[in-house]
Amino acid sequence: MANTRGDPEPRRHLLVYAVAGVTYIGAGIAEKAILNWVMGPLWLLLVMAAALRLMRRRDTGSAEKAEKAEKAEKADSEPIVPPDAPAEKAGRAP
Amino acid sequence: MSWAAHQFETYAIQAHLPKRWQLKVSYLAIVLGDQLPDFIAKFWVYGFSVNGHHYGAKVPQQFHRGWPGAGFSHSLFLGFILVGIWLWRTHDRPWSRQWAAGFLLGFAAHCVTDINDSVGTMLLFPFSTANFSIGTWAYAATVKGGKYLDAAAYYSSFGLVMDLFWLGVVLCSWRVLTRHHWRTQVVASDPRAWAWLGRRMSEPMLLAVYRVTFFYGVCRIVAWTFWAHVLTGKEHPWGLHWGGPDFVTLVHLSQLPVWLVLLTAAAVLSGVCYLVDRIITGGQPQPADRELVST
Repeated sequence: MANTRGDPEPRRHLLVYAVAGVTYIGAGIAEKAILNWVMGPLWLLLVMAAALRLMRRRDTGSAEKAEKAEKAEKADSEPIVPPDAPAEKAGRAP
Repeated sequence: MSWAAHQFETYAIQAHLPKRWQLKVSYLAIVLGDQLPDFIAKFWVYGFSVNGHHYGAKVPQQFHRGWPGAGFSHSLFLGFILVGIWLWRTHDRPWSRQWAAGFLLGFAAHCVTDINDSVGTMLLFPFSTANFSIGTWAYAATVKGGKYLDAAAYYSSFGLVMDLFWLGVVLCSWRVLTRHHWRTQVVASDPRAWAWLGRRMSEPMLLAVYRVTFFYGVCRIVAWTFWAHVLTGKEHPWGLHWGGPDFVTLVHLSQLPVWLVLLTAAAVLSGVCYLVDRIITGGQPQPADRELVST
């Protein structure tokens, strides 16, 4: 088994536990009926699943954005060849 | 009855497994064994109402912990029977012993923890139907009060201290909650079950499954204590003394001397540990024992 001591868990994952806990406690105080064995565990798992999906979408979105930006940057840096200079482009000798 | 203590004791067991048992006890089985007694009995203890008619146990404490009733669900006898059937049916499977050992540890922890309320558990059932209790707090499940009065009473008594004690035990061994421990100890001791779950979930979700009972335990302590002492505090005064709180009637099924209860609980736990060791090792000497024999 790989040593994971030097591979800390992402902080945003730990934050999800805190968010799930605070919202469950708040909701549970407001509506005591949800303070039970089924809803408690389910709450954490649903919040975690939703958060992971959001994170993935955000990561994919930002990766796509980064890719687009990179492409645009590349396109900007490429020399614009004027259409009326085919000979120069072909490297014809003077 | 105990509330969040049952959620925390599973991690406490996992964190403090003796070296020779490490990687040989399934954590999922500990949880299953620890939750099963209340899963069998508790629903009917509180009951439910339909159109003003209450369906449930007429005498909750008798049904929950007594005989006749479902009190056998909190006796080690049921744990031994279930583990016996399990080993008989699955003895040729590689994960059979891990699950049997974990289940028995979790089940025993639940039965022994519940001797703290005034009703206690039938530790020696079926040889004796006496309930072993040290009466640290009042058993408070009643037909009229239901779950809410039970929660208020528990979190106004030494029950809260008990929950906080177990929370402290887990926090003192906080590494048990880390991804590293989960990967190297929990998954490694029960790879098939986690692999089966892993085909359906990502690793962060699997970790959430592992930590979910801790999460639920912490949330229920905070939520019920807040409700009982901030929102409805006047109705539920603190009763931090032996057998408290005072706003519920103290009920018993048997009254045995405390020393006898503690002695029996210690004997029962020692017996369980011996059995778990036999299950894990199969009666074969372990590497450490072999070294001792050879020297």
